Amino acid sequence: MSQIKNYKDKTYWRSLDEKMGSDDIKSFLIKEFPEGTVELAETMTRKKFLTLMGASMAMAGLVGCRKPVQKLIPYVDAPEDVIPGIPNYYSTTIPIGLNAYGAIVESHVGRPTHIEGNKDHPQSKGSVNSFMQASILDLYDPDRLKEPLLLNQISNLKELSKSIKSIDKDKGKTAFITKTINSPSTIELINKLKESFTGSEWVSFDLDSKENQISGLKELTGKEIVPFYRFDKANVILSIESDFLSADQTSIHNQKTFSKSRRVKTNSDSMNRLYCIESNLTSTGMMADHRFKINPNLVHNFLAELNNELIKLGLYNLQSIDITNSSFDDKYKKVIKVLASDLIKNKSKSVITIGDYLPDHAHSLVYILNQELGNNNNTIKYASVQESLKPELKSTLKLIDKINNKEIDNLFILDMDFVHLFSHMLKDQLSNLVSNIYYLGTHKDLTSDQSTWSIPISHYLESWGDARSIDGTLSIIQPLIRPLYNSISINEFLSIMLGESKTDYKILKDSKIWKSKNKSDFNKVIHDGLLKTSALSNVINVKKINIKSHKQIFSQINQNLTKNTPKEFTARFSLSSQVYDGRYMNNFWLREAPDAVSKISWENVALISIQTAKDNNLSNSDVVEISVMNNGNISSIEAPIWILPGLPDNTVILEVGYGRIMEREVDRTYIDEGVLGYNALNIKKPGSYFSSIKLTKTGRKHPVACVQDHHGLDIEGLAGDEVEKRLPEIIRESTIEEYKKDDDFVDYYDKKWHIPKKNEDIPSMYPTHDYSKGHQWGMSIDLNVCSGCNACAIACQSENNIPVVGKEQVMAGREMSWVRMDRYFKGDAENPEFALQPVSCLHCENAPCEQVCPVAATVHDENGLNGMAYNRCIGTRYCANNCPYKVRRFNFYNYTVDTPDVVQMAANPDVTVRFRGVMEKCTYCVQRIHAAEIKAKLEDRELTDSDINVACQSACAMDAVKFGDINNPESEVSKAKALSHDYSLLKMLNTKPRTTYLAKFRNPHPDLVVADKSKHNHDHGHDSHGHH
Amino acid sequence: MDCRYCHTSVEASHEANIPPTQTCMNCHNIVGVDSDSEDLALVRESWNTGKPIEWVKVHMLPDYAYFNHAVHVDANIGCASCHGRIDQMEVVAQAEPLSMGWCLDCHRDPAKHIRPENVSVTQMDWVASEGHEEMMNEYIKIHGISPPEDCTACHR
Repeated sequence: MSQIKNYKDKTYWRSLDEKMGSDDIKSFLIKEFPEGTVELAETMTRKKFLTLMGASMAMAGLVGCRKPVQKLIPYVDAPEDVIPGIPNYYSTTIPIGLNAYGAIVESHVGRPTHIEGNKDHPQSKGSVNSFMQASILDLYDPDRLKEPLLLNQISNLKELSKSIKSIDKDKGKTAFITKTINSPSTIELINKLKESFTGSEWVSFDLDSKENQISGLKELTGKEIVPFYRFDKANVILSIESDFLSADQTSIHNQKTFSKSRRVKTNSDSMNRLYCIESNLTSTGMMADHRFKINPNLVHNFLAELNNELIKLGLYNLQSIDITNSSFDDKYKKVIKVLASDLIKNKSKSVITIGDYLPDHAHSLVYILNQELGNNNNTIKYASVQESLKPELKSTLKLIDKINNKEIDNLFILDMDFVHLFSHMLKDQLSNLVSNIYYLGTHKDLTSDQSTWSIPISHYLESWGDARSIDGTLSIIQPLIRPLYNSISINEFLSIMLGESKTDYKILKDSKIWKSKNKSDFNKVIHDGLLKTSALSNVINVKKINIKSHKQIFSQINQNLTKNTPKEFTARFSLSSQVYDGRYMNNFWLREAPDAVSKISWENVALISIQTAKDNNLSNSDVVEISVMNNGNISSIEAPIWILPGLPDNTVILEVGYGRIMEREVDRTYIDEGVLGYNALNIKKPGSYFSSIKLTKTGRKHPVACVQDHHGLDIEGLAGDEVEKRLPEIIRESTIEEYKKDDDFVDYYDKKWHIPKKNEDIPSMYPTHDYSKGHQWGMSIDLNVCSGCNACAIACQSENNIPVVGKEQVMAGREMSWVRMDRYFKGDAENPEFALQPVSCLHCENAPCEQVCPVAATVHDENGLNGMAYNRCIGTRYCANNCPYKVRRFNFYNYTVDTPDVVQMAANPDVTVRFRGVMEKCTYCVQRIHAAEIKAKLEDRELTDSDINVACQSACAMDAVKFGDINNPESEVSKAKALSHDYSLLKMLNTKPRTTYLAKFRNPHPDLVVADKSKHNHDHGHDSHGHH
Repeated sequence: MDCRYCHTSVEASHEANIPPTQTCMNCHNIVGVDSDSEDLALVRESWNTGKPIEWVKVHMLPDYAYFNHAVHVDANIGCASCHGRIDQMEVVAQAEPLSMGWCLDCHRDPAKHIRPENVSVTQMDWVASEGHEEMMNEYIKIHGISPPEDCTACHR
C-alpha cells in the first residue's frame, strides 16, 4: 500500500493494482490475456476429456463421410396461435417481496426464452432488473427438485395429502413459515387454513424486509405504509444507508423516476443533486454527487446532527436532540450545514430516504423530517401494504424458540431454505427438533435434507397466480409452460392442505377478486398483464402528524448516539447483488456477472478500506477468520479479504445470501468449482445490520475472481501511469454549473489531437464508404444516468446465448459477457468519486478489427454493422488484439458443449451458439434488426424508430441506452447524438464508432466544491503531447 | 394441391413448418382412413398414439445460416427455385446445392427467379417466358427489391 503515492490527484483509475502498477496488472494491460493462460487448465479435466473425446469421435465420423441424418419433429395437433419461427409474447408477473413487476416473456414454440418489462405496468414500465432477467434460467435449472420426496425417496402427492390429513389440526402444535406474500389468492387460502388449523402459528420471514420501516411509520400514522418515491419531482435527494437504485424491492420504479430528474439534454437543463451517507459502497453511492462514508455505529449521530441543523434553519417544529453524548467528525459538520440548507432551500422538492434495515425510530424521524420539509405527498407518496403478509422478526424468533424447545410437531416451510437461514440459531438438527417437516422448495438443499416431505415448487413461469404490487396494482401470474417436473405451486400446496387439491388455475378463478370478473374482463387482465383500474390504487396521501405527541422518537435517537467510534472491527451486512437472499445461488448468469461495486464474480468476500488493510497488514485474497460472541458462544466464518476504496475504516462489509449448500444433480463443478462463498448469517444477529467482530488472519490465501482490470482500454500498451492519464479522456465529465458556461467541454480532448467535430471530416488512409443512404444503425449511451446495475449485461447474455465460463476462466480474463461494465475511481483513494461506463462493440465505421482479419470473418454491412461470421472465423485473435476498446471475446473452450439439455432450452434459437476457437462480440442484436425489417417488409410499410429495441436498451430502467437509425434525424438516437455533450470514445484513433457516449455530469453544491485539478487537464492544447 | 395447404407458415415466418399430423388427417380421415396402405401407416400411428411423425430433414442448410422463407415468398420467388420439382419426386431429394455461392448467384441477379405478380409461387411447372429477365429487372427497380449481400444478412 505504501506504493500509493500522491493519491490526492484527481484523475481516474480503475483499481488499486493499477494505481500501484503491480506486475499482475501490467500483464493484463500489455498482453490482454494474462500470462500462462494458454495452457490447458489442470482442473478442467472433465471438459478436457470431453473435448478430446469429441475430437476423436469427429475423426471417426470422417470415415463414413456422410451427412448425419437430422429429424424434424412437428406437432401432432398444432396449437392455433403458434407459428413456428415467430416468437409469441405473453404477459406475466414476477413477485419480489412486497412488490411485483410486470413482465413480457418471449416464447419460442412453447419455450420461454427471454424476459422484458411490461410497459403498462407501473412498477416495471418496460424495464427489468438483473434478477428478473436472470430468473428465466432458474426455470431451466438442472438441479431443481423434481419429484415429491418422502424421507428422500420418491413419493407422490396423494401420499402427501394423506399425510397432511392425518395431522391433528386442533392440537395447536403446527407452525407455518413463508416468505413475504402479496398474492391475494394465496392470502385467501392462508386465511382459510388459519381457521382450520386452530391455534397454529403462521409466520413470515424475509432477509430483505421493510418491517422496521412499516412499524416506524405505523407508530406515527397508525397505518401500514411504505414510502413510494417520486424522484422525478426532486431537486435534492439525501440517501442515508439506502441503496434505492439497486437493492430495493422498488428499484426499477426508483431508477425510472431518478433518471428523469437526472437526465441532461441542453445546458439550460437542471439535474437533481444526490447526497449519500453510507457505511458500505453501493450503486447509489457511486451515483452520488456527494458521498460520505460513515461507520455504521455513527448513523444515529448523523441523524441527530441533521435534525438539529434543520431546526437552526427554521424547522422549529422538530425537537432538538441532545448531542453531548455524540461524536461526529468535524469535517462533516460543514457538510451537514450545507446539506441542511440545501434541503431547506428545496422544500417540498427534496427526498430523504433511509435504508430498510435501520431501526423503527430512524424511519419515524426521517418521516417527520420529510413532513417538515414538505416532501410528504409531493416527492414522496406513501403506499398502503396492509393487505400483504409481511415479514415479522419477533414472531419468527418466537417460532425458532418453540422449535428449539421441541414445542412444534408439524412444521410447514413454504418456499424458503429454512436451515440455510436459521441453522446458527437451532440447538440441534432440525429433524431432531420437529417430527414432521413439510418443505415446499426449489432444490435438494439443507432444509430438504432435514424434511420429512420435500415437495418441488413450480417456477412462476409454470404456475397460475396473482400478485399485488407495492402501489396496489393487481396482476396475474400466467404460466408460459407446463411444469417441467412433478412440481406444484404454493396455491396448489395450500389447496392440498385444505383437502381440496384444486389446480392453481381453478384456485385463481375461484378467488374473491377474480371470481367477480367476467370472462372477457379476466382475459383482458391476462392480456394486459395488470388490472388497469388497480394501478396506483394503494398510493395514498398522508395526513400531517403532530410532532409534539411523538417526542419519544427524538429521545430514542438520542439513546442510540455514540460517543466514541469503536476500536474493534464492525461487520456491516448487506444483501448479495448476485444471489439475493440465496435464492439465486444456482443461477450461473447472476453468479458470474461481476458485482456492480466490487467487480467480483462467483462468490462473496470481506471488503475493507485501504487504511484498514494497511493498519492490519492485510492484502487482497488473505483469508481471515471473523468471529462474534453470541450468548457466550463464539461463532465464526472464514472469508477472503478484498480491499475497496471508499469504505469507512475498521468496517468489514459482508454479503448475506451466499453459502447456501445444495445437492447438484448435474455436476457442474467444472464451471463454478464448487465455490459457495461463506454464509454470513452464521455471525449475523437477526434484525441488526452491523455488529462488533473479531478479525484474525489465518495466513492462507483464497483466489478471488475480480474482473476490474480485464480488457482495459489501453491505447498503446502503455500500462500504469499512461492509462491513468488517458482515463479523463475516456470518461468525459463536467459539472452542471461549468456546463452552463462551457458547452463544448467534451471536445477539448479531440481538439488536442486536432480531430474535427464531424466524423465525415476526418481524413482516412482507407477508402471511405458512403453511409448516407438506407438505415444506419447507431447507439447512444448516457453516462450521466448509468448506475452500472448489470441489467443490460444479463439481458444481453439471455438474448445472445452468451456462455458462462466459470471462476477459474474469469480469473484468466476469459469472461464472455459482451457488455463490460467499467468502473472507474477518481481522485482520493480513501474518498473517491466514481464513474461507470458500459462498453460493448462500438461498431466502428473504420473498424480496426476488420483490417487485420485474414479471412474476412468480420466485415461491415450496408447498414453500418460490424458483422461477425462465426463460421468463417479461424481464431487468430488478431481482431481482439487490434481492437482499441477490447470488446471482443474469444471462445477458448467449447463452453457450451457440456450445457445440460434443459439449460439449452433457455437459448435463443435466432442466434448461433458459438463454439471453441471463434471470436464473438456485440452484434447490435442483428437478429432483432432483421426480424423487424422483414416484418415491416411483409406488412408493406416503412420501418419506424420504435420497431427495433435491442436487448440492453429495453432492459435499462434508467433509459440510458438509445438505439436506432442515425440517418433519421427524428429518431431517439439521432436526437441524443445531436446533443452537445455527445462524444466518441478514443476519437483520435479515427475509428468512427457508431456507439457514442453522452458525458457525465456532477452536480456538487457550490459550497462543497474543492479545487479540482483535473479541470485543467484538457487545457494542455498543443504542447503537451508529441504525436504528430 | 398448393404447397401452402400444409406448409402454412411459409408466408409469415422464416420457417416453412412441417405440418402437424392433424393437417394430414384433415383429408385422411375421409380418404384412405381404413386402408392398410403402408404409406399412411406412420400417419395413422401418430394420430392414434399422439406421438409426432419424425420427418427426415432433406434440405440441409447449415445451422449458422439464417434463411427466411417469408421474405422470399413475399418477393415472389417460386418454391421450385430452391426445392426443385417436388411434384415430380418419388422420394424428395435436395435439388440444389444450397451453398453460399449458389445463394449469392441469385442475390446478385434475382430477376431470373422472381415471378410476375400473376404467377403463384407454388406453381411447379412455371417457366420464364422470353424477355422475362428484362421485364423483371424493370420490376425490381420499381419495387426497390435489393437482396442483401452482407454477411449479417444470414450469419449472426
